[in-house]
Amino acid sequence: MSKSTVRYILRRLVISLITLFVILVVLFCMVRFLPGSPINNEHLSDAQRAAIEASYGLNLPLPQQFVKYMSGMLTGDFGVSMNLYRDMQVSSLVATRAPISFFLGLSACILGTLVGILLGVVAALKKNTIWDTLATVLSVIGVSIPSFVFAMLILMIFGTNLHILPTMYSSSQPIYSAIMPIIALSMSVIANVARFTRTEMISVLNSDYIMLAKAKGLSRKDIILKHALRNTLIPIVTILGPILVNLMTGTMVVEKICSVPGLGLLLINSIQASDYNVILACSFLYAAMYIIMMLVIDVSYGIIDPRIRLGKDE
Amino acid sequence: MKKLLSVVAAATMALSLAACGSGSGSDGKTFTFASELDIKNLDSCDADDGMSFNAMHAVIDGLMGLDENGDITYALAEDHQVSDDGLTHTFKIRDAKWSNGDEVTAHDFVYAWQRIIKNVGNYAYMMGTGGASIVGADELMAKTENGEELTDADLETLGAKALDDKTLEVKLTSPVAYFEELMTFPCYYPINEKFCEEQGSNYAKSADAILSNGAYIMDTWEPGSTATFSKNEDYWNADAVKLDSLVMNLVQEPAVAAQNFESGINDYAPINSDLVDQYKDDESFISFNEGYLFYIQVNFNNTDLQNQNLRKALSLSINREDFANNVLKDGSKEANGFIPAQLSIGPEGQDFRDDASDYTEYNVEEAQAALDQALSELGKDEVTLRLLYGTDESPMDTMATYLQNAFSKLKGLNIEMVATTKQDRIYTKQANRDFDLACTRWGPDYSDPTTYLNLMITGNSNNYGDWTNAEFDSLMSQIATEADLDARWQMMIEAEGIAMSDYANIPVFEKGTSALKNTAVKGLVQKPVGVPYTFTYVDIEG
Repeated sequence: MSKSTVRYILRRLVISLITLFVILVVLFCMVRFLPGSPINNEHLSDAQRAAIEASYGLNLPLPQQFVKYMSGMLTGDFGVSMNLYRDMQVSSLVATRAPISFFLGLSACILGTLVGILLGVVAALKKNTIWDTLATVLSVIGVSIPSFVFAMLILMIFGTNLHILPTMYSSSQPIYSAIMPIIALSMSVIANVARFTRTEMISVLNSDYIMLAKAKGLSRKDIILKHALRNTLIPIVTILGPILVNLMTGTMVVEKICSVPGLGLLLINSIQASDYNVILACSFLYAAMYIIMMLVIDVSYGIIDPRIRLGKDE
Repeated sequence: MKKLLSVVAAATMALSLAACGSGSGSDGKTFTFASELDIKNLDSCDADDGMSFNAMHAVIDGLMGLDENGDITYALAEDHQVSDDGLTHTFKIRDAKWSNGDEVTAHDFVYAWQRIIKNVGNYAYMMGTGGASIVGADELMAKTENGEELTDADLETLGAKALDDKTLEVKLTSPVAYFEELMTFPCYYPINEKFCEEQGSNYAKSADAILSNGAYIMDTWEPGSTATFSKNEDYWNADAVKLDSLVMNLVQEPAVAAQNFESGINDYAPINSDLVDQYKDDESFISFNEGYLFYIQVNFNNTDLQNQNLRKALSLSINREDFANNVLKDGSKEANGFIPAQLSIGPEGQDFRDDASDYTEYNVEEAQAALDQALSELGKDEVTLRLLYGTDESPMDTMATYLQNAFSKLKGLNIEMVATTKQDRIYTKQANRDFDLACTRWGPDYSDPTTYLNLMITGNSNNYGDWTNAEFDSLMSQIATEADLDARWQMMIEAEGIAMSDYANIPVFEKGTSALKNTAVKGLVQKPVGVPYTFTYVDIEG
């Protein structure tokens, strides 16, 4: 890795930290400006509610609350849940759920990308044949039908009717019980990657250097694997970042259907309950993930295609 | 291609085998209960939701409990004496053990009740005049509300004392006719002081941080997913427990819960109104009263709404039966008064609703006539009212839409819909009296009619509409101190009559719940008040 690349990564890291701080400030204020409070038991009198709010420090001025939150956060203390799982440590709530969501998102991304590339390559190589049409139809279905519909379908067929897959996520069978949500989540990835791969592959196959490779007498396998596929992959990497982040942040509906105790569901439930600390921790984690992901994607450009230089050379 | 097919076939077979393995494994009877709500908390100091109550009651008994028929019976108490003035209750605690081997003692109750006040628990108010009326509770709560730390000396002023290890004495500020029933409520459960102090802030935050003295022991608890329980062999009433294990699964999607039920994964699954038509003729289909009353709160600060004929017109224009049976379809019933049916049983064993009159009716012609009369009295051609509702508190949005449609049929009445969140509805708009009509609801704290009637007392914190009636207030004061149960019952019927005849609030429907229950399952006790489900007596036949 060149010095300029290291400098570039360091600069991006500093910018990322500043961005995260700004996001935290904005999130903190926005969450506090939500109507109502996490203490929303309508059976409580105003005085009783105020007393409970005071026990969580919600009666302090906003800047003081922020400083208290930040100082706790720097030591790994994200506070306690004020409503959803009252008085439970937010860090432990998030720590048990984040890996599940990450695993699902990442697995769906890997599966979807591999299958998508395969479908796209087949469609491009067998252009205008039944295989191409089949791959295109699959892509259109994958893009058009939301992942939760797939989840319901798979659940009904493989879970309820055939009893092949469990209908609920279980921590005692974390991989086996995650198959269904992973397949459901990967459908849109397959569709997007397949469409993209097909277009790119056709474009690459028609380019001059492929003609030259053919003229040099290289085998079809070498042309596809060593030249065409590698050049097709570069643009695909650009769409993988947003796809992965969308997968991780967009798992909540599938999580709900497949009863997966994931981060997405925790975030949605915490917003409904105005559980300040849980909302903050989940949103912050998503923001951090997004920023890290974009950084990783940017750096990976340079690795996949050495022609792309990160930072300025001295 | 052949290779690919054989790989797929092998994978399918492997998965099928794995699936077969996952469904079996434990011997004996297991009841699997699916819920769309999660267990939030197992600390009787903090828990305030039905699912947490279900889980908590599976592992902890209170002084009183429910028998197989849902009637109140002794649990950890084996005897209960009340003084002639009704102000001193003495409980004898039976021989029972915590799951760490300690004896359950009267001190466990005193500690738990002091702790809920000291920690400003959600249900601390149930210790004071809002519930059990225990001596000193209101004063202690006033201190915590002022931000004062309670000392041990302060807590000693609470009127709950352990006379010895097995005798608990509770002194009240006024007689509480429903005191025994209150003692079934989780906020009055005992806590083992030694264990609780050892656990510190982790108490009841995980399966191994809570002790059992009840029918089951909690083995695992994964928030957001599942909780498993096994029979407590040392339970004082172990002979009554037929199950070997109990599983509570969080399934937030009712359609999935129904599918799981059909495939035998769950023995019990709640379903929503979308699924009722599909299952209503199935023998596993059940529906019951949830205990919640959904009603319209009228803002009496609005000069138009001070007109009784206008309020009468609003009430008469609602076809409650149609709304409950054809729109909600979830077991909900039309409300005939402010006290829901199947909530309160009188001294002679009769339901309050059977003794009281019906105060609701659907008659569009009479509604129009009442509105015309109101407009004439107000000197207006038309009236515009804002209908406030929360979009995040289903089925409040459905109710608001139905009401808008019903009210709009009256000529001279315009409705403006004000959609917001539940929080904003209650704590901003209703609290600031910034509404005309508000779709709201109330769930009972206990099964005495006063849990609803108190809402209409002048100055009650939930009386956001500021309805006031001296006769009603006076009657409620008498009810609070009346020791004669028959006289008290009649007074409550009279009080409801005063409020409903004046359209203090407009009741709409009593919320029901529909569910699918395995027909082999017997003994699941369901109650609209307090702990929704008691699993102690559940048995699976066959």
